[in-house]
Order: sequence, then C-alpha cells, then structure tokens
Amino acid sequence: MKYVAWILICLLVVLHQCTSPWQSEKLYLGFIPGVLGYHLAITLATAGAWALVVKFAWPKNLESHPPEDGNP
Amino acid sequence: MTQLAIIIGYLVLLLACGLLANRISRGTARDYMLASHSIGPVLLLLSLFGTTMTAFALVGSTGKSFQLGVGVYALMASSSGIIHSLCFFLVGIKLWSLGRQHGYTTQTQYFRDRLESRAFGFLLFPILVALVIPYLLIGILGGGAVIEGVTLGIFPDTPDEGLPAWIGSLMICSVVLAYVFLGGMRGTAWANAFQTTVFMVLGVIAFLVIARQLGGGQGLWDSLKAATGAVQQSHPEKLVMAPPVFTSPYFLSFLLIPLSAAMFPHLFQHWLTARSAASFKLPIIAHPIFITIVWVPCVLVGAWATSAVFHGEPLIPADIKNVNTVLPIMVAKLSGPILSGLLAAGILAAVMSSLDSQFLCLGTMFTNDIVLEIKGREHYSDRQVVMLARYFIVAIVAVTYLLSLLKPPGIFDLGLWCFSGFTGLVPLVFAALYWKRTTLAGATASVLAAAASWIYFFCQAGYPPSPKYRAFGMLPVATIFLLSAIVLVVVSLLTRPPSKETLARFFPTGKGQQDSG
Repeated sequence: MKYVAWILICLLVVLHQCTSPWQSEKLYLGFIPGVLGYHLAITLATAGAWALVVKFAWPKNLESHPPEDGNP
Repeated sequence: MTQLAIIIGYLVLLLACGLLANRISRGTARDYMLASHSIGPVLLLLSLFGTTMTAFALVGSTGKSFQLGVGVYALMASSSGIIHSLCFFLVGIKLWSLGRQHGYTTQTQYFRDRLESRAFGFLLFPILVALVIPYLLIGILGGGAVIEGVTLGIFPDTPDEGLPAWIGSLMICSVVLAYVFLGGMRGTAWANAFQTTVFMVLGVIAFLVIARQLGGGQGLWDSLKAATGAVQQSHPEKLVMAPPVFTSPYFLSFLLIPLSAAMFPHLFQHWLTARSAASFKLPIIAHPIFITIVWVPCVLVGAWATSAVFHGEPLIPADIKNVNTVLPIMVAKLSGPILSGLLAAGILAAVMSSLDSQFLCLGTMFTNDIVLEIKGREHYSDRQVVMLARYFIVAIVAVTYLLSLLKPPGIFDLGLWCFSGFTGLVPLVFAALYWKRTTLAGATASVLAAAASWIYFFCQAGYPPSPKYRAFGMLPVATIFLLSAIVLVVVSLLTRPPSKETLARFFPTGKGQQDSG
C-alpha cells in the first residue's frame, strides 16, 4: 500500500502539470472557474494522498535513540 | 481611527503571548531556542503554516490574480500543497530525528557533522543569512505599507496620508522583537498559532463580505455566481491560463520554488521543536487544506476585482501601480472601518508570523554557528547563551529595520530570488540525508555552483530584477537547481567517501533510518 500512496503523489505532480484544463470555460458550482476548480481538486487530493503516505509509509526507528546533552 | 485602534489592540495581544511564554519558560537555552522539543501536532501545524505563508498569501495572491488571473493558484498554491508536505516528510522528519539524537539547533551544526568539516559551516552560514535578510525586509516594508494604507485620513490635517510607513514598520519590529526576546521559540510558536488562526479566519470573512457586496444577489450563492459572471462578461481571460503569461516550461520551473522550504533555516528550527515524530503527521496532511482555505478566496477576489464596479466606476483602476493594494482597497470600499482594521490585523499577522521565526533563527545561528563554534560552548553558561541569542536578535532587528529605512528599490522582486537561492541548496540537504556517498568536496562544489549561477543570473536580470527574466524559457531556479545537483553528484563520486564513523553515525542501519514499513 505504501507504493500506491507514493504513486498517487507522483500522479498528482503529473496531473498538476497537465495543461488541458488551462483553457476550460466551465464554472464549477456556478462560480469557480474550471482551471481553479481543477487545481483546487488537486490540492484536496494531495491532502488525501499524504494521509495515505503517513498511514502506510511512515518511517520507522525515528525515536529509537535518546537525545544527547550537547548543544542547546 | 478605528482601524488604528484595532491594530494596536492586536499588537497588545501578541505582547501578552510573549509575556505568558516568558513566565512558563524553563530559562534554558534549549527551551529558548527549541521550546524544549515540546510542540504538539496542532501547534506545529499552525506555526509551520504561519511561517511558510507570508503576507503574500493574502495581499500578494489577490494582487497577482488581479494581474494574471486565477492561474496564480495553480502556479503558486497547488504546487506548494504537494511540495511543502514533501519537504516536511522527506527532510523535516529526518532532520528532526537527527537533531534530537545529536543535539542540533541549526542546520549548519548538522552539515558540519555530516560533512566532517567545521569550515563548511563558515561557507554555508553567510549564504543562509544573505538569503534570509531580503525576505525579512519584504515583511518589514510590507507591514509598514499596510498600516499606512489602512490609516489613510486618520489625521484631519492630512486627509491623503496615513500613519507613516516607517512608524508602522517600527511598531511591527518592536512588537515582534518583544515577544521573541521574552518568549523565545515558545512565544514564537504560540504567537504564530494565534496569528495563523487570525489571518485564516479574517481572510474568509473578508471574502464573504466582498462577495455579498459585489454580487448583490439574494443570497450568498447568487452573489458568488454574479461576481464570477461579471468577470466572464468583461475579462474572461482572467478565468483561464493562456500564453504568453503561462507556458509549460515556465509552469514546470515554478514547481521548484516551494522546494526552497527544505532549506529554510527558520523551518529547520521549527521542525526541531516537535515533541515527537508523530507530531509531523497532522502538518503533512493538513498543510494543503490550509493552503486552499487561504488562497482560493484571495485568488477569486483578485479576479473579481478586474470587473467590479462601484458607484458606476471601476472599483480598482486597471492601471493600478501597486497591485498589492487591491485587497485593502476592496475591503476599505466594500466594508466598514471595523472589518478594514481587522483585515489589516490579519495581514500583519501573516507578516509577523514569518518575521518572528526568521529573527529568532538568525539570532540562534549567530549564537551557535559563530560565537559558540569559535569560542567553545564550555565558556558559556546556559543563561549566558540565552542572553547572547537575545542580544543578537536585538541587533538583527535593529539592522534590518535601519536597512528598511533605505527602502531598497525592487526589494519585493527579490522574494523569488531568495526562494531560488534556497532551492539551489536543496540538492545538498537531500544528498546529505539520503546518499552516503556525499562528500565534503561534492557539497562544497554544489554550494559554490549554486551561488555562482545565482549571481550570474541575478546580474543578467538587472537591478531591480526583471520579473520577466527567463533562462532557457524557465525561471533561473531550474538551471541553478540542476547545476547544483549535477556538480554535487559528479564531485562526490570523484572524491574520497566519508569516514566509516560518520556513515555509522548518520546511517546506522546500513540503509538509513528512513526505512518504512
């Protein structure tokens, strides 16, 4: 599942670069321009994709070492 | 006068934050600089968001949308949603873990250890400081201009003037200095959280009020439709993305700008305040949502402003000189003095939530990376280290305020160049964290290549730097980043690898600690 999560992130980067919605004259909900709606959807999907990464690809052993007393 | 009273009231609240943080401070250097690693997920989310979002998120986004259309959201906001969280995940967590293990407070300390070189710190330090200072100046000058704008006409003798910008800038510097001086990182994190909440809530309120006034429909929904409908009629080009403003190579290169967050020294310090690695989970997921909440309303308002009519006249003249005043003018004309004052407080919140972290970070860097590094940590007690950091913060605030009085031309165009410089250093941090073969020579060559290419392009762009300058059809950041990465890899492969001790210290499992399950 962690690979799916990372593939989703990569897919979102690719979709972000897609130029086909740039000239869209559609209005979502009657007031959101097409290109803005498209990128708004990408941003919200990004939050979902990051939730998957956090759940399935969270790094291990991050807190296995006690903090040292050194620099402040 | 109402606006000024609201602004002063808001600044007093911030001072209270600093005082409160000072009262519960443990008095140690670790507490002053890193809040004793005690910041939980919600506070971390708010403070990271407040630090990465400057006043540009409110006034700049509205102004740019007025100028270029709603494509500004795609250019600057949705890319940040992906890339900032990527930086938090791949760089922030890992540096937090190393910082906790080895007691780091600044980036330079990490790079000195990782690259086995004290001298490397002296190379990196001035570059980081030089990139942060213009960023600070933008905040100070922008904040002063906002206060001047919303207080226009408060003095009966001079109806066309407001509180002079230099006084506004002085007020901002004094308040930020006070709560950073008193509260250190804890005060900064609390103030950031408070300010982030303020500018998000006030941004949404301003959007709703403007929509109701502009649309003039029966309900909010009808008003929203009417406001966009007016743009569709008179300026349909503001609702799409089209060349020559937007081109694919230019759009692609803009993706590298938010990557600069990976090397922001003030973000590094905020990352280290986290109580645990798990504290990063909420910021990673919620950061893109927060970007949407702030940017979408501002971008829509900017597009609406192109077609808005007020008493039969265009609300904003098409040839307006300073597009950053679009939002304040709309609020001033379409709402009362109370909302105008509150919005000014919101804009100042966005300014100060970045300024405070940058002031604290520079004070911390001068203390740790220069004084303690040269004279030795053992010569100072914990209390003396805190006082040293405070003195440096006072000096930095004073110097940057004095620099702001010179009103350097083109300072606002320097923002993109600062980000480009930080992005040029990003290959360094990724390689240091994930590539064992990274060597001191490779890192040094990479930093020098980034600096040299940055200076070359900066000279080519002229001064004040032209925002239309491109290198190979892209923003110069693309070339700077690529060059820095290639030089790092090639020189590292040609030079001797780091010692086994260093590799064991930074890659203890043999595969690095970032293995995921």
